[in-house]
Amino acid sequence: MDVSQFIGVMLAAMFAATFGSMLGLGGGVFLVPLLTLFFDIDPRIAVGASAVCVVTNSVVGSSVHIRSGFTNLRLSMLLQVTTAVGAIIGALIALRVNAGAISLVLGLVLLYSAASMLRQRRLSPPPPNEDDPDPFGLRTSFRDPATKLDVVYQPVRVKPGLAISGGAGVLSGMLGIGGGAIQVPLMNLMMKVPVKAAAGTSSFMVGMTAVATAAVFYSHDEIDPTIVVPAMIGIFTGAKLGSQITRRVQTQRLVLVFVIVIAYLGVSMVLDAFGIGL
Amino acid sequence: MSSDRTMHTSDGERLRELAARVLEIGFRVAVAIMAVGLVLAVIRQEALPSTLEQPADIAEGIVQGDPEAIVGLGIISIILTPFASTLVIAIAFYRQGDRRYAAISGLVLAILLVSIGLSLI
Repeated sequence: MDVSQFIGVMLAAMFAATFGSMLGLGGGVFLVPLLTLFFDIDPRIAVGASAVCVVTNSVVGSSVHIRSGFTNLRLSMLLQVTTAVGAIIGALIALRVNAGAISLVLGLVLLYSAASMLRQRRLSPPPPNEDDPDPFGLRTSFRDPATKLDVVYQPVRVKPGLAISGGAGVLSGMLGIGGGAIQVPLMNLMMKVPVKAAAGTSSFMVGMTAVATAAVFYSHDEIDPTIVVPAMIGIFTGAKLGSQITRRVQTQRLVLVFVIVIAYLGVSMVLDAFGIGL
Repeated sequence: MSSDRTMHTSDGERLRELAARVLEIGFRVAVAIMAVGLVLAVIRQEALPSTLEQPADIAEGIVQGDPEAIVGLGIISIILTPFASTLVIAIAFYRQGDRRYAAISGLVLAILLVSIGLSLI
């Protein structure tokens, strides 16, 4: 392994981790294309390295998000139940369906989420009433350091949220992605979770989802330390940086970055479905 | 009173602190182990392997002070960290008398183990 590749992979991972932990995505969506396109790394090795990186990114980033109070631990565990089951089902049926069709569906879902988040970015969910029922005990609050205000919220539509989260898990298992790009808009748009809390909660969840993927690649001897080691070094710095940016940045700007990123992913998935690489 | 149902209580803060600390410890331990392995590899002028060894080989290599195995242990420690945090969160929910979320977290842990088990078959 040469030094320039070591440094290049490290910088690519740092970039992926900064955006990933900032937005509550794993970062694999950036890392896999970077590794395969710029470093000519075999796609399977890139996905294996990316799974380890997503775990690392989640561990480092969510420790900051949890301290900031952005991670709703109860919500993350609750949604993780269906996500994890979905991921198993997705992995089992991955070989039996048309990958192009899945990409098309996922791409359209992402584009729809991007448009909805853009439209609603100026609206913050109304604070819950003291008397509102909270059957799942999910109401919580966090202090937003950017505005220095306490934000109280209560996730709503929990049961449909669980179902969609399961669907997100199925897609994760099929496509080998962390699922953050679906979970964040789901929590924000449907369950009325503020964006920072959605990013913090998703950031913790993607680590648990990626552990299973990492284990699969490990058992198939597809974890390459010459890629993983420099990538992990890059992530240690990128993940801290990204989660600190989430703390300080104005929510509207965070949403705008998120919308641009998922719109890009959506377009590339749709093109991919028609065999056009971006 | 609804405030005792929310997470913005001292119980909630303790849980957060605990979860964040487990993640930090996991990451620091992994970094420290990897750093030792990398320094050893540089001193001995050994290149990193292109496949992560399986657990039995790693255990054997560590006994012999093999840098490759030490770096491998570092990578495995980070993969195990989300498990450790989920386990600690499940126990903390239980201790705080929140049996429902203790059970949910335990269920998540069980599903993760099943998915890893299935992947090894």
